[in-house]
Amino acid sequence: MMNKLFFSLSIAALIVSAPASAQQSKGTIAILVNALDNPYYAAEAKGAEIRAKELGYETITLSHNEDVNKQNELVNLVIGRGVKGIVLDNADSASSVATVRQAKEKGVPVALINREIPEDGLAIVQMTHNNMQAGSEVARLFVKEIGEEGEYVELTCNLADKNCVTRSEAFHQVLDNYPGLKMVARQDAKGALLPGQQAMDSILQEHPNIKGVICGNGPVALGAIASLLSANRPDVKVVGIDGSNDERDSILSDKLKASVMLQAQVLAIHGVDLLDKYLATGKTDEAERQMTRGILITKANAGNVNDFYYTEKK
Amino acid sequence: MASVKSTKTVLTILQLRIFIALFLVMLYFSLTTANFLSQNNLLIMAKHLTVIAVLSLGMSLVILTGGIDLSVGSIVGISGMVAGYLILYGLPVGESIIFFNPVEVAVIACIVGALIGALNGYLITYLGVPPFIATLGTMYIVRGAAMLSNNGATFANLVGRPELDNTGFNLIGNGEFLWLSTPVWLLIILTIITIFIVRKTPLGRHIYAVGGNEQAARFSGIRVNRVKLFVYSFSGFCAAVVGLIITSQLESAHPNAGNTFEMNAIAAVVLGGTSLSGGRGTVFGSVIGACVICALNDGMVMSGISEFWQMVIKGAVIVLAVVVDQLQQRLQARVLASA
Amino acid sequence: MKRLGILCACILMVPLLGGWKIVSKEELVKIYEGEKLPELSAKTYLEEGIRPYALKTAHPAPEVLKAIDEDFDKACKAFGFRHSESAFPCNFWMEIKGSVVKLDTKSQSGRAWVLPEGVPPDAADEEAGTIILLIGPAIDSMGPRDGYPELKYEQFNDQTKFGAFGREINRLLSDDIRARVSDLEKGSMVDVIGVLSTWDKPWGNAEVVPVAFK
Repeated sequence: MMNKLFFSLSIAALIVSAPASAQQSKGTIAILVNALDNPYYAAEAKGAEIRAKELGYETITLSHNEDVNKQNELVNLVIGRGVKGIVLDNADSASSVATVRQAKEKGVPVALINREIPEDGLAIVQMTHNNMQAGSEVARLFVKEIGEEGEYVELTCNLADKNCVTRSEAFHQVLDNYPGLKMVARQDAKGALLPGQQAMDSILQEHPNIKGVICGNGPVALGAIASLLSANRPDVKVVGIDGSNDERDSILSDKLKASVMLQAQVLAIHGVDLLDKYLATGKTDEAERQMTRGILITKANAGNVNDFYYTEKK
Repeated sequence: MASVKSTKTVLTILQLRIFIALFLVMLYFSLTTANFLSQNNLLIMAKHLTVIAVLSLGMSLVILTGGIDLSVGSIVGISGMVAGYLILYGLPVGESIIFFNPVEVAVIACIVGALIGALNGYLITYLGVPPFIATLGTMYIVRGAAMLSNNGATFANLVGRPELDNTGFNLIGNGEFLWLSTPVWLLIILTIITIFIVRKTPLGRHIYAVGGNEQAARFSGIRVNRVKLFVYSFSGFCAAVVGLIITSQLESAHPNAGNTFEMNAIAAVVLGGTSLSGGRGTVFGSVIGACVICALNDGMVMSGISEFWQMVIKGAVIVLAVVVDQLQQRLQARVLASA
Repeated sequence: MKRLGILCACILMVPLLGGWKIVSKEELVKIYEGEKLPELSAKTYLEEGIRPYALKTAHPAPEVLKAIDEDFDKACKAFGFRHSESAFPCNFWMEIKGSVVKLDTKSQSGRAWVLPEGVPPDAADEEAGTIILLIGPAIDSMGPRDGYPELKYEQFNDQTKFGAFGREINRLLSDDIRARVSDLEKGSMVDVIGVLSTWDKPWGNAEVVPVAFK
């Protein structure tokens, strides 16, 4: 008992004698995204980090892995650590409202990228990709590729992510206009390569006459292609959305027909720029909700894609 | 006898290892990370602590009886969904709808948690299902139920409406009272109650007895089934409290809330010196174990350690804790033998 | 154990203590109604907003196309409208007067190739110099919605709803066009106001969605 008391007291003494916090440079910006092993989120984080360092900030990059509670805890922690601003690709829009509001109340501006929240006035900016436009453009190209009659398959990305739902709606708003096109299967491939490949394997057994596969994101499209190639079906046309380097390479080697590059880096960079402006002047002078177009990528312009950044080569 | 004395010193150190561990962790991070021991950060860490610590209270009692509860994470999720549903849509009865005030909503969610825990207890005692299997099954069933309750979507915007008299739910997670936030107070109160049950009531002694030697306990007249039923219900109740805290802080109920929380709870209990075979350990130790895990987690995040390394370190800490525990057991036996 | 039982019974009683609020199903609907964004009508916007705007701002097609050919950005500032450069294409309202040289009504994305007045036909390629009218039934361009300044994304704050609204406008347009197109054939004269929606100089012939017929 005495020993326990002794240790409790020494911990208390440690807390009381805590050193004052060290002096900061221009401050730290926290970058909080989803899983860092997905090239899209890695590109977002990289774009934001590089830009923030250019502007003179230090950065701390974290991942919340789609867990809203972890996101809440991480935001609280970095605020406690004294960050000047947060770039956030949030997990589940509705549940993130309270977290962003708390950050605002503590005086830490938040720039939301890739996913929105349903309330205005909490984040300094909400930047999203125009998933509707991305989905429509790739669906229109899909129709040109497979014609107006035939069977096709839809493999979605993780339908718990609102962006994936939007893309699927965009596909159908185009494809359902063609009564000759029949969707024979639709599967949630969780936005990952392996489930995409496995789903394609099973569906191909069941429906050997399909003409094309339309996918909700890049990893799923690449998974579908892997499956089709191993089943020796290069005639089935596959399209996706995302625009990672792997997809670019697949398009250049004629495996993937098309994709839409989401300008991950542009979003991240602009988010950091607006945080910088807000910290300097107290406002952004721009609209809160901003959409950025996705860029349709085919063999003709695939060479311009690198790490989710599109450079027009003149 | 020099060797016995030094063995006894080593033994004391081992018995206090969880406190030493906490001290070392706090020391390390306070030296390497700015702001770690600032008042602000400590209050934030205290809030994070409540999630693991409250779960570890219930888990301690379960593990003390020699069982395990894998379903607490799912109960966290479903209690949030129950609360969310009641706040947004109320309870339809015939032609009208009843809206409960936030206190009642919280109580109902806790009752649901306790009932699921009781279900676990029933499966384990009367139907003889091993605790690992029973709670594994419940874990999936309850998680599935939470997903089904709103088709995988969240119940958002749980601030209540004045016309429905159900505002104030967010005070559970965000209220402040005498510098400490409500969840921390809940943790303190629940810890005191749990330690009281375990140390000062016959039920507490029965819990240790059942964990130590179930047959002997049964022969000495202890109602083993009732004891087990209580500990699992209590574990479910604790999980429901955590679910309410999280839902209140986020102002929304997410069906996947609490995913993998049971792992942290078990780790906290093991770190705190409770043996997985039951009968040995303290509740206070589990709480300190939760403090260590929390300080480790938050400290690693704040000092920018990559999260892949965080996983490795956390696992190593847990294994180390069990190895040291074994060492302590052997030394203890040796000291007793030579006495 | 007995004390515990009594404690549990007390806790179970709490929700029944009252302090409830009982409402009827209708009242609940009313309480939640007040918070939704007002539903916008595609028909109203099309008839009272987009069409009048189109009639007012359309320029002759050959003039607009020539400007686009010279300098896209300048042409957009002079003849087009776009909400924002990063998210929306530029939408040019133009008047097309000419004769139909080719017609495709079999495809879902029906097209009519129109040779504007004053442009000489090319004997080798009947499509050369023509403007393509998208006559549906599937109209894929979002020009009608994006070309009208008073219709903004902020009024929806939801990409799916915004997309659905655009589709609804196009569906109404397509019904309208179908009615008029049934007697179109090679050689018919047309005079329509439509919108060209594009990110950059079009690679092939300009594709225009007809919004008003004169």
